[in-house]
Amino acid sequence: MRKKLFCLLLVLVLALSCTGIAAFAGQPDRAYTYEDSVAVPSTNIYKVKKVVDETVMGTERLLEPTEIFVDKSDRVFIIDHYYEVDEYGNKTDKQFAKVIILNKDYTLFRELRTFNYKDETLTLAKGASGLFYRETSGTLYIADTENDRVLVSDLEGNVSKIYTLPKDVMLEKAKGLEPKRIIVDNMGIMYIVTGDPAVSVNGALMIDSANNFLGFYGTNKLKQTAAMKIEFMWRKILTAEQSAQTGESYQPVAFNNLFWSEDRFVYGVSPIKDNIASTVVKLNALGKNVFAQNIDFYSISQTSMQKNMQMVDLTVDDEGVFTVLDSATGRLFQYDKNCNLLSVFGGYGNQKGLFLSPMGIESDSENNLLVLDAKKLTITVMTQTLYGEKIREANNLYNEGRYIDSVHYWEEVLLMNPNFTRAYVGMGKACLAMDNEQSQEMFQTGKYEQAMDFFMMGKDQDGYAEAKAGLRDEIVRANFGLLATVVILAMIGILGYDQIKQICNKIAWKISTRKGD
Amino acid sequence: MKKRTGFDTMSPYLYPFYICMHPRDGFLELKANKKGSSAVVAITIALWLLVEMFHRTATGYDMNTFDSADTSLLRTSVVTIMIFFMVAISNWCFCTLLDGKGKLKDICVVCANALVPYIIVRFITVCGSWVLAGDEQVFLTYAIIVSEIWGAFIAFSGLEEIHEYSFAKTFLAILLTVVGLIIILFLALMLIMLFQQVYFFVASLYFELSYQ
Repeated sequence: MRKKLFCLLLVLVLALSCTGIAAFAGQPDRAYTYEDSVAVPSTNIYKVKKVVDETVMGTERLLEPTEIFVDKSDRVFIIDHYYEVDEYGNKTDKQFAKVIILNKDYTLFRELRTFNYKDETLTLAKGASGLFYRETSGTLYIADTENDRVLVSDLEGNVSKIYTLPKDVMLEKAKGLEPKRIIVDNMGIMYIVTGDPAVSVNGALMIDSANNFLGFYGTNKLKQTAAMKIEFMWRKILTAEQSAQTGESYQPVAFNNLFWSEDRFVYGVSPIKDNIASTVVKLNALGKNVFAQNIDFYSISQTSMQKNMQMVDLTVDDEGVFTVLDSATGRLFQYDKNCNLLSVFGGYGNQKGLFLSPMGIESDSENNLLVLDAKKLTITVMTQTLYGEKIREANNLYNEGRYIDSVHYWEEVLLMNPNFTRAYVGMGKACLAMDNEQSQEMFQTGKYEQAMDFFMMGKDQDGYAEAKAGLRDEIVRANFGLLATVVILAMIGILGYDQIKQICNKIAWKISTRKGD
Repeated sequence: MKKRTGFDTMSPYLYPFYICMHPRDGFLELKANKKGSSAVVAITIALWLLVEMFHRTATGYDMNTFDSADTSLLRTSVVTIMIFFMVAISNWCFCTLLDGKGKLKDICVVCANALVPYIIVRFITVCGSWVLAGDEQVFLTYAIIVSEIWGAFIAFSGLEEIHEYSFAKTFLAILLTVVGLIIILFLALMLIMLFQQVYFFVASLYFELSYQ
């Protein structure tokens, strides 16, 4: 009877667990992280909350969206396209760009097709791709790429200012402004990624509100590669004309995208190239990269199946966690603010949570990610899973230096994903911060032994060395008397070996002679 | 030749330690008295293999450059035993052409003796890696470098003695040995690829026939 009951219970539990799986079937569970360039499966860090399409927005179907922007009050701005309508009401082949503004609940707020500027009606040419909303002045900066201008407009479509290419010696070679991406800082200075190949390699253009050119910002650092060194060697031998024919250029590449974060740093993402030191950079006011380590997508792209990765956009949330979007494979790479890879998720496909041609990514105030897909013509809103939340909380405590408080969260993270090595490092750091009694209570071993274990699992050699040094000092301190005695005796033995031998011989001789008496 | 008491009666298993301290005299007397022992060579190679395995698996985690979970005895023996004999054979090949007086066995004895300081120091540094941490690692690195230079000196003077070469000629012989090593590796690679192709040919032949 009891056995039957048990069987029934088992079946019930199994059935229940099956329904649980079925509920998640919409989203493929294929998140992973890279460890030494090897993909390690991990638990999903984000799940799809909502897919926003034209039915949700209450507009016509998106045509060819290029850019997405989310402001602080979670309003969504999209650049999309529309066909020109002739006087008979028929659609022509000609496309123009428009700006769609959505409310917080992703319903349509306004659609800006035309803009008014001093009795003139302006339209955005096809291919406009940059958009920035400046909260303090309530103005929208639109990079009208093909028309070589930046429009500054309010939300009603009244243009207050138009920026074109400033006159400057350094910009003499440029044909036009050709703005591709734009961000604006607190001072109202615009950072424009230009498409003009003559100047784009120098970095973003800094233009102030009076349309003066202030300089180039954030030139990409180059890394020496073997091919580059060989090329330079040849150039020393060849004449100028000959080397001009070899063609290969080792100039830095222009940014794909920029992101202005509230802590006054500019994040930039570049195309993947073997001689670009860091694909993602965090630039300070001087345009210097402040990331402690390079984020090298080149090596990832070489080891993964997809060699044509295209990092098109990135977004940073309030806590400095940043997510980089790869449009070729539809993957999202999320890093914490110390450049540790948290998870890789998304992918190429038609399912929810996968993307066909993602063009832009933004995060909102609730740490949701909004991904604009130019082929699915939707915005996918992804929200953190419990696992993601725990990692975030643990990471925040860790970054504040509250290692011991973070232990609880790391433990929960490890319950959900034992492959997550960062959690072990966090636990190890916590062990080092503990007293021995605390560690005994929590892990039943001394703090240094436990920390060594954790650091080994977390593959943190520096942490391991620190714990080992601590353990060694502890042992030496506890047994100092014994160790000192051994060392002193050994020194006496080595240095005074001959003298001791002589004395022993003398004694032996004396004893033997006395016996002879 | 200076008379050295005790060398004649010394056990062959203790020669390597004597040679470590007095390489020139040691090899001279070794050759004169024909005291080279194959057993000592075998033991030295075995100890080298052991100490390499020890190094890969037992070094303190923070100083281990190897993935101890991915250590393979086969691979380690390839880098020890095979390299040892490849060096010995390569040197023998060239030195017979260059009027060297040493036999293959003598060369093996020299190579084995040159390994002794490295084996001892490596063992000590692995043990030391359990105690030292962090930046103190440089002491271990220095110790290994010293042992390698020491070993190179032993090998150099050993080859000079057994082949009865001048300094310059020994140097040339060692350079040629390195060239020979590369040639041997190249030939081995060719051979392996050839065998692979023969294997694939036979295998595809078998499959084609079996599908008929």
